[in-house]
Amino acid sequence: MSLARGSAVVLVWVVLLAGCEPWGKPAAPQKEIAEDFQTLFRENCSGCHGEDGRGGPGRILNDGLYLAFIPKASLRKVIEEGRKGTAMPAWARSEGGPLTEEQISVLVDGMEKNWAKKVNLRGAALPAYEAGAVTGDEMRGNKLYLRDCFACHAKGGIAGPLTEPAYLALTTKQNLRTSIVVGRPDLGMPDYRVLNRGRPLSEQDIADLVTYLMGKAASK
Amino acid sequence: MNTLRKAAVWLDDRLHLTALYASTAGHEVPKSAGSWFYVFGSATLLCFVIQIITGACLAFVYIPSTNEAFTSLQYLNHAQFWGWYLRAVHNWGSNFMVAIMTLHMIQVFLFGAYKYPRELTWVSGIFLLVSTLAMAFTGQVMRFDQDAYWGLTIGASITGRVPLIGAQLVHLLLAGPIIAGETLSRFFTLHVFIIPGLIIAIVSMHLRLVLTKGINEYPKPGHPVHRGTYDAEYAEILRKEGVPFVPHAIGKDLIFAALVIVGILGCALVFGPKGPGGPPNPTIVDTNPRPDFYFLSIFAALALLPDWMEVLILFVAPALILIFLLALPFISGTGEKSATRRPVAVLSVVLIMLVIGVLTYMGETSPWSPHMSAWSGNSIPARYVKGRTPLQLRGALVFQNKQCRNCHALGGEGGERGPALDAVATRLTRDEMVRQVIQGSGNMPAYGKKLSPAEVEALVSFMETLHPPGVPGARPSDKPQNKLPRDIASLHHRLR
Ligand code: HEC
Ligand code: HEC
Ligand code: HEC
Repeated sequence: MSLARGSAVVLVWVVLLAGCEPWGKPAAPQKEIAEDFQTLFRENCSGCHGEDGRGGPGRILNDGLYLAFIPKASLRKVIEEGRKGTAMPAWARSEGGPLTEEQISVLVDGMEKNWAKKVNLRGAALPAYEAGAVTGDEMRGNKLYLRDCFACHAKGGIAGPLTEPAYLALTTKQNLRTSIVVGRPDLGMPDYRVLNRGRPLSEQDIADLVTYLMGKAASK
Repeated sequence: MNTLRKAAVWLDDRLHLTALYASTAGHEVPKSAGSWFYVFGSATLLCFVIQIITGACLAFVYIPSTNEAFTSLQYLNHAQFWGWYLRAVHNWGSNFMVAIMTLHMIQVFLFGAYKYPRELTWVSGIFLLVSTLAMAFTGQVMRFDQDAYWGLTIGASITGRVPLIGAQLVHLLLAGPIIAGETLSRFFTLHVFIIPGLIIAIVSMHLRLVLTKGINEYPKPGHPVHRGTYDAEYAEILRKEGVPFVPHAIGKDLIFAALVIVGILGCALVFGPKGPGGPPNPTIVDTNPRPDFYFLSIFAALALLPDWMEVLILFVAPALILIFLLALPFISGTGEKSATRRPVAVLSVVLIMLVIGVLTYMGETSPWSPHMSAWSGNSIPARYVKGRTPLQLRGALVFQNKQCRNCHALGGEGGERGPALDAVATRLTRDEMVRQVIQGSGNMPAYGKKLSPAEVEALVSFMETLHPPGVPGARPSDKPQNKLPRDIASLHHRLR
């Protein structure tokens, strides 16, 4: 009798243990699924590029001119691979980042769809995103810097110097180029269309400026 | 039949089994010791046995190398059939062991069992207490995840503050100046060979003393211990109402042992194993690192008390407590045993337990965990972006990229593991910021070589702008030198 009862108790335990998933069992690691553009951008990008893609310490992305300037393929590439040597991390899983292919597509398409606008170039040809074959002239760049940039980019100016070696060590040629062409409308820097004393900077001007600034980095 | 009997007698003659039985299980104990209060010692031993068995099983799979430790635990958790349960039982066994050992100690103290002639039983018990806590700490390191990493970092930074020989002690603890593969090997050796060996040795002595000096009789109020007369009194008690331990006194121990086993197996089933959290990497903070509960109260104490008491809590207090515990049976080796006649003793136990309980609760509920997605999801407030130089803005980006934000809030958003940095420039000078970032401190990882000089320069330029308008930055003399875990200081502020 008591043996029977004992084995019944054991049996109940065995069934309980075998039958149901115990609460304590650790859950297998889960994978994220693609979300909507707003959430993806807010959770992954707004920390550096600002709430809604503007007003952050990193490049303004919510800007018609910028989205006209950068080709979709380049946009996708920089998000996937990040920028080596800067604070922009790689986001694609294939590059060790956290986002899937689909999530990056959602981001790229979302930026185009929500933020791209027709921009009036006021007759100034839009420079290509990547620098072309034009070779920059450092001396001329120096002059242009003093003429077109120094008003704001001097020590104590509204934007501060661009020539600090530590800054130049953490930036890229492309970032300089992008900044000169697109400016920082959210922070008060005008774009290439007016930077040349109200007139557009030419492809040569931009190349000279970038060469001059990067030369400052190398000279340190 | 006869040959069998002969063989048994022969064996017994060689092995002295009957004698062994008579002097252990059969030894006489006062009838009054068969009380529910006397079950904790054997239960602690039971926990230790469970730990040895489960620990040995775990050691079949566990690989004590920095690369493999994490993976082998993941394997146990997810691939090995009921491997997670083995880990869970080992984890809960250790929790139960610490808890029941504490009960045992309180009981022994309140029943005056440490008094003459059982002084050395108590002293060996104190060594067991220290060894068991050492097992708990080294065991936490075996997970070699974020928790372990932080536990070690804090342990090392505390050790490093020992005057004169701090650096050497850190080297001894970590097997090098920093946490590395050798550290894990060292802790593994401690956890599976050296400390368990010590415990087994001390337990043997502890038990032998229990047998030779006898189990304390249930104290009666008004029967103080006198050195001259106690031995005779005890012999008299045994003569009058002595019973063999087995089977008369062991019943309650067995019932409690069963409860403990059910408790451990049940908790393991319901709550599961602990960790491993994210793999240890000082700059990727993707878990919620905090010490296991036995040590939480110490951290909360550090947080609550003013800075100048830190040295006191870290070095003076533990040394004093240890010395006091060791000296206790020699200070009050005689006199009243019954708790009803020792109000001070009872009050101290209640008070100490209350303090530890409250501190543990505070440590458990305080917002220590880093916010995992702050670095990419919490934007820098506009007022810290406007009017900044390009270098300062790059600094803000480095700040996000290196996940400083996960532990440090800006504008009320971000982690609270470290202090908010909105006004950091009023507290720290440039040099101090550099030192903080490179060397870390307390719960902040040392970034050292993980940052390029340009990144440090940018970071510090950015942080220098973090002060309320009109309030000047800190000047070099504003701060006391060599402060302790400042996160603890900041926890202090939050708890208030
Ligand atoms: C930790 C900070 C950080 C986060 C988070 C971050 N970025 Fe960036 N991003 C940067 C920095 C810094 C640069 C500039 C790199 C350079 O100097 O070339 C940059 C550059 C870019 C550029 C190229 C700008 C150009 O020069 O044309 C794009 C596009 C971009 N980020 C998109 C994103 C998107 C989309 C996300 C979210 C998935 C994101 N970033 C998250 C820091 C960040
Ligand atoms: C009207 C003022 C003004 C003028 C003129 C101006 N800038 Fe700027 N610039 C800014 C402001 C404001 C910012 C954003 C704040 C900051 O980076 O300090 C900025 C940002 C930049 C940045 C981006 C820094 C970064 O990595 O985030 C670059 C590069 C830059 N400017 C280059 C130039 C160059 C080259 C010129 C001259 C052709 C120029 N700027 C002219 C105001 C100006
Ligand atoms: C894992 C969390 C964590 C991370 C990540 C972290 N810190 Fe800290 N930080 C702390 C803690 C905790 C403290 C308190 C210091 C202590 O415990 O001694 C602290 C203190 C500081 C202080 C001193 C604040 C004061 O008021 O005294 C500065 C400055 C600081 N951290 C900057 C940084 C920077 C810059 C980064 C990124 C490179 C960073 N921290 C990353 C946790 C962290």
